[in-house]
Amino acid sequence: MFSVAGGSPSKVTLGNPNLKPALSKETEAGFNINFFKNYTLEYSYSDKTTSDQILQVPTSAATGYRNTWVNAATLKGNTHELALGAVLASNKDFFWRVNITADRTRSKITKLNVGPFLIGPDGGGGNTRIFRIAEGQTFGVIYGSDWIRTDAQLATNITNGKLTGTAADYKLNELGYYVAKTAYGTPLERPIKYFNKDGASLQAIGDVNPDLNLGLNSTWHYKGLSLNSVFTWQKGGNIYNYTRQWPYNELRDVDFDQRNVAAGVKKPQGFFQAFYNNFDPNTRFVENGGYVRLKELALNYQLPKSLVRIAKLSSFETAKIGIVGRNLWTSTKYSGYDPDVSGPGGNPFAYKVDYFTYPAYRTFTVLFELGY
Amino acid sequence: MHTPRFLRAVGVLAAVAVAGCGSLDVANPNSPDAKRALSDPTALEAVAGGTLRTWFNTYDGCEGNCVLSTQAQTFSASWNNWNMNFYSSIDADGKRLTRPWQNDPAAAGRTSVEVPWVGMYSAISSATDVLKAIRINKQVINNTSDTKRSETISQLMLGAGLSYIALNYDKGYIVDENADPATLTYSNRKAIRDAAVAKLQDAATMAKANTFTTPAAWTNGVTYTNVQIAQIANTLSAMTLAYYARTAAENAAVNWGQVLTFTQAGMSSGTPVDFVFVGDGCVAWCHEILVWFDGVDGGRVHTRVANMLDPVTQKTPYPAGGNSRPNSPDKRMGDGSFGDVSIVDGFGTFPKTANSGTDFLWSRDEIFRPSRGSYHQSNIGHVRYDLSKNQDPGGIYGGFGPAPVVSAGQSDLLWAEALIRSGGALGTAATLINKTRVTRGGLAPASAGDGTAGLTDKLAYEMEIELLGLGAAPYYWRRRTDGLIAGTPRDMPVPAKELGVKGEALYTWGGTGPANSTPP
Repeated sequence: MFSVAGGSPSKVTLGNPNLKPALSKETEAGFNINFFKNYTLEYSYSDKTTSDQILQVPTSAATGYRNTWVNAATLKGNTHELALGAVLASNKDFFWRVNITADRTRSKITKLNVGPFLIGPDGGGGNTRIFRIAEGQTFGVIYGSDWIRTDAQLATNITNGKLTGTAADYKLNELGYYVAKTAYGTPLERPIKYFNKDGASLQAIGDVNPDLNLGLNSTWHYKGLSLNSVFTWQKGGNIYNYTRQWPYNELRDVDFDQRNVAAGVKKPQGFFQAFYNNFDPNTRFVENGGYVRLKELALNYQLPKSLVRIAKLSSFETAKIGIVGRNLWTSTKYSGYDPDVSGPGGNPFAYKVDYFTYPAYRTFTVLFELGY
Repeated sequence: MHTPRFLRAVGVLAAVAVAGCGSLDVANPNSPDAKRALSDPTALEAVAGGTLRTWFNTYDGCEGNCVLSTQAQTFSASWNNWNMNFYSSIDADGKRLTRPWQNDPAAAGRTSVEVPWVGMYSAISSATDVLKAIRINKQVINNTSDTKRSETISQLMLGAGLSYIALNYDKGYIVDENADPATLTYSNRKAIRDAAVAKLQDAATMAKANTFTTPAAWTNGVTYTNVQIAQIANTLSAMTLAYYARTAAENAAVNWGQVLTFTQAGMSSGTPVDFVFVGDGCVAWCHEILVWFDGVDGGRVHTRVANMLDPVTQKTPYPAGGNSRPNSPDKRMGDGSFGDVSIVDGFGTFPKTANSGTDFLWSRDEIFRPSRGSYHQSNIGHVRYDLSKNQDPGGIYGGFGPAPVVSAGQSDLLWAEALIRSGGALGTAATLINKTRVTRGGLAPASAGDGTAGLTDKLAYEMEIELLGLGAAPYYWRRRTDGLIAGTPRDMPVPAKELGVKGEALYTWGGTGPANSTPP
């Protein structure tokens, strides 16, 4: 396929006349148990294998095309889903139901017919190519570089020749990074990039896949009053925080403010600026993306019919008022605006990065509902 | 009783399904497939013309080329757009040992080597498609003349694309209409250089043998005759041989006699011609280098070059408090005044006087962040190609108008260099140098009496002043005269993306490793 600009065509995607549909086979099993009258438990497990997965893969520049579509991979994934429901109270005036859900998904590339490559939300030419497509690779693993933070890493870099001298020439500073002893405490103090035994800096530095997703949904009624709440909990899963990395080049992160840091352990601007790393992914910006959030809280009141009549709303039989708040409270260790990121690609699974993503809005909705 | 109705329903559904499938097979005129683009004569001609646009945009694109210009300390910018700050900054030891090409598939800095590679091979591939269609599949575009025109331009761009690869990468593919891209192996830079020159000379021969004028649409507004195309092919051939050298030692080994032959038939011979296209504000036609560096607040002329223009006022490295207004004997700088009083607040300039320069201005503003190194700062801006000559908000060079790619003056300087280095007539070399030195600069004429060393010095001055903004030409001069800071790469590696496709190990040039490949 060619793209046309300025009246002239240029090559973009190499066509593949041999492309065939991908084939998915899925096996799902589960059970549903009702017990103690008011309780239900559901569990399902699904195992899905997709062969001839269609992927857009890079091509040699010699073809003039940037990429092509091929039946390139076999993917294997599994999902566990669990749901527990309980009616905790149920009588004429009072009702309370709680539902708890949990799920965990993993997908792996078990076969790849092309060489490994990196992808990301903003395309081949963009900055966010940090997810590796390779045989045996779990989807969502972040690739980038690390800094020397352990004795073992230091020893490796001396052995592989990336650092000169001996371990005694380096010092672990107060922030957990090894620095040159001669530079420690001076304006030249800098973190040192880690290279593995093969001399490569590119390595797995994080995984966006959560250990577990949990949901808690509570419905509570007392006479005409009802209260519904939805909590979500994501346990584990990393976020790559590009949004924080960018200001490191502009000296605009809170780390650069050393006013309240004790004398003797203050770090120079250059120390933190090194983590900008020409905007290349590195462990400094891999963060725990776990969070607990009150996703929704809704309070409604069904007006008595007598009140409806008094209000001369004779055409209607029911009236309800209420207020709904969304994204009201979040507990997280994530330093960005919002741990619930999906990245600019819109794919919440493979492309979960914070790349100047807008946070979820906190909203309040007032409700007045008439029924007949 | 229900069977006929059921069958009719099935029939209707089947018809809808078939019709639906057919409707999915839609030809998109804005994204033609290869079969259509390379078999339809009109489309094939557009592909031929399109090679020029792809090549122009890559040759003058900031990816790669702005980095090279700032690495060479000709232009200066500490903005990290296109990784300029990363690659052009200098470490505390005065070197760039931590700044090799970031040839890693996850590195943001990879684009500096990846984008030009992809762009040039895009132009090369389209050129070979046209050549294959015409030479092997015997396609005819309207008539013999039009067919030869497309064939010649495609041949020119094939050679020009290979030339860029030879100048910048340690190895690459030699692609032509007889090659199968699926089975291509790397050739070393010398082999690519020689292939590029051969293709360019084929283009020159074809241009001389056929009469045509290129459509204005191929350059967005400029036409070239077959004679001019031959001149351009010759100058590009000379540039390929001369700019190829990675070191002064390699420069000494250049076949300067051949460079002389090419330049004598090049763009400054006969009726001089500049190779230009017309920018459209970077919608489709973009001289990104000028957009960036012919804007007073985008980039500056490095103090190393400014100091050559006026050693008294323009100190290098940049001193605390900045450099004062110039008073250069070179008319291209003059007193650095520029524009009128209305832009003083916006650009820190001072209004034009009778002694203003044609190419350079002075601005009091320090536009770069001090924390990134004061050595990036400069008070001298480049405005030679600013069409407004006023840098007002509406007239600032925004990528509109004629965009110089290779100039006749550039060919003159190469001609002069070839004469000096090949033992040719020094008087002729002096005359060629004086075309810019005296005519534009108003400086004392060079002469044969300056001798080889004196003329080489004057030639170097012109190379530094005159080539600014013409692709990465200033970088090549600095590279082949050993003017680059230690650690600065002199070769680009095959990009990580390409290595990944071929399942090969990553590697790079520069930093603590070798700056360039061993001369083949």
